[in-house]
Amino acid sequence: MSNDAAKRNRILFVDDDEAFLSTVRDLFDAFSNGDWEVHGALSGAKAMALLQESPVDLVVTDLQMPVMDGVQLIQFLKKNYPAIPKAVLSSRTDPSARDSCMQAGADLFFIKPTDINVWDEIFASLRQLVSVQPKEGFRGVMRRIGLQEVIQLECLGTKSSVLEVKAGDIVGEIFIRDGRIIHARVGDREGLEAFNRIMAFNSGEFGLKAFAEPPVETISGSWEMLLMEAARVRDEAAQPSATGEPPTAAEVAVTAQARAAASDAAEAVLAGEQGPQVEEILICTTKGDVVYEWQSPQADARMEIISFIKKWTQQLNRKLPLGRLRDTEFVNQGDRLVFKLADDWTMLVRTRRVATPSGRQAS
Amino acid sequence: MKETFNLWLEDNTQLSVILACALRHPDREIHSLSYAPEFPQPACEEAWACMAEAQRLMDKLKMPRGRFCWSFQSARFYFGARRDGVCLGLITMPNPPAEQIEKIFADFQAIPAAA
Repeated sequence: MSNDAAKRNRILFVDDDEAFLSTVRDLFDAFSNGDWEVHGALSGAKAMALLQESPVDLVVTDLQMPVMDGVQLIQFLKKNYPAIPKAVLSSRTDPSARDSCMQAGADLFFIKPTDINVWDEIFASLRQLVSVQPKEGFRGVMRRIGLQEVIQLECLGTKSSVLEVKAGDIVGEIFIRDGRIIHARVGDREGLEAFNRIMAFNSGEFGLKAFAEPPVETISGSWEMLLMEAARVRDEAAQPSATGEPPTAAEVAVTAQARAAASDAAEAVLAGEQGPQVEEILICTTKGDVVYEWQSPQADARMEIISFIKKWTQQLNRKLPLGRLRDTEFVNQGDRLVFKLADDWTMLVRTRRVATPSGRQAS
Repeated sequence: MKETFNLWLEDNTQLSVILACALRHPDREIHSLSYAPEFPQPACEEAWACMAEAQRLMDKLKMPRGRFCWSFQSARFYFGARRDGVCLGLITMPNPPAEQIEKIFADFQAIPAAA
């Protein structure tokens, strides 16, 4: 068994079956005589988080997994980590499964074996795939990554950390525990106000620190909604005031607070005891890669709407003084479909009104 | 029938928050009005074309007829369709009173189909 960790190949297996991952880890550790450092991820999101931390030499993924399936993961890897070889290990035996994986960019496709001898053959194939990859020089791609992406990755990976953000002399902190944003502070501000302020920084630097319990928990709710709200507040801050002058920080804060209060009040009146129920979330990059999907079976149709919105936003702005698009909303009876288009990503959230006992509805 | 809808548009959209508006009839004829110099009728044609394309996309995706709202920095663009295919588009100030917009669309939906 090799003890030289620097020469070990890092192999990442992605499968939602924990027992299977454990078996694979034991098997391949034995087959490789310790030359493989085998890692496991229970979902595509966790695989993405692991990849963000450190590079791997090979990714082997299951096909059928909740939220992000194997084909989507392969597509993501192909776009964002083109140098990493990709293989699929699935129980599906139909040719269409193999075809869709290969079309998505997989290098190899295996059916999960039941015979131990077949495992040996799979290992041999994977070892060959790893060995043809370059061992020297650069690997992987660099891409611009922003605060939102870092928070997304931390939350998707259900991690705990403190994100420290510096903009000039101002230092802010966002506390994330088990993938939930629980507190933020900047200067003498805390909670949502601080979170939105940090997310509105135009420039600066940030770093992840080990998690430490905050003195108080000031934020709750889904991270998707928090990011979306922060983006909305930031966009509003970018709007010119009635005088044509950029709004002052105080004006921005007051406007944001007033809007938030008005929105809360309106929702409270309409909602009674219950708020709107989130039914679907889809986050994708500008290239159209799905980064996060929750209960979005019609992702292709959603992407078509997003393309439509982008195309027409450009066309409309050629002739009409509309300015930047903040969001687009489609309302049909109880359903509300909101598309939030940022520079680097697009988020879709679908909510449904929840009928209250009094017959009123939450919007 | 078209005349009734067109008259309704002229009678119900002269509000300070509405910059321009239009009806698109099932035969593709458009009746548009402009209330702001920065939103002249020829320039608004693009918006009404977008409205028609959006309806086509919704039909293609088998989505139910509903209402779209595009919130831009300097204006809002609403459009919705009735079951009989008549579409209403509004370009408004960035933050119009929600109840005014709701009422206009409710009244639009309530115009008798055989009017």
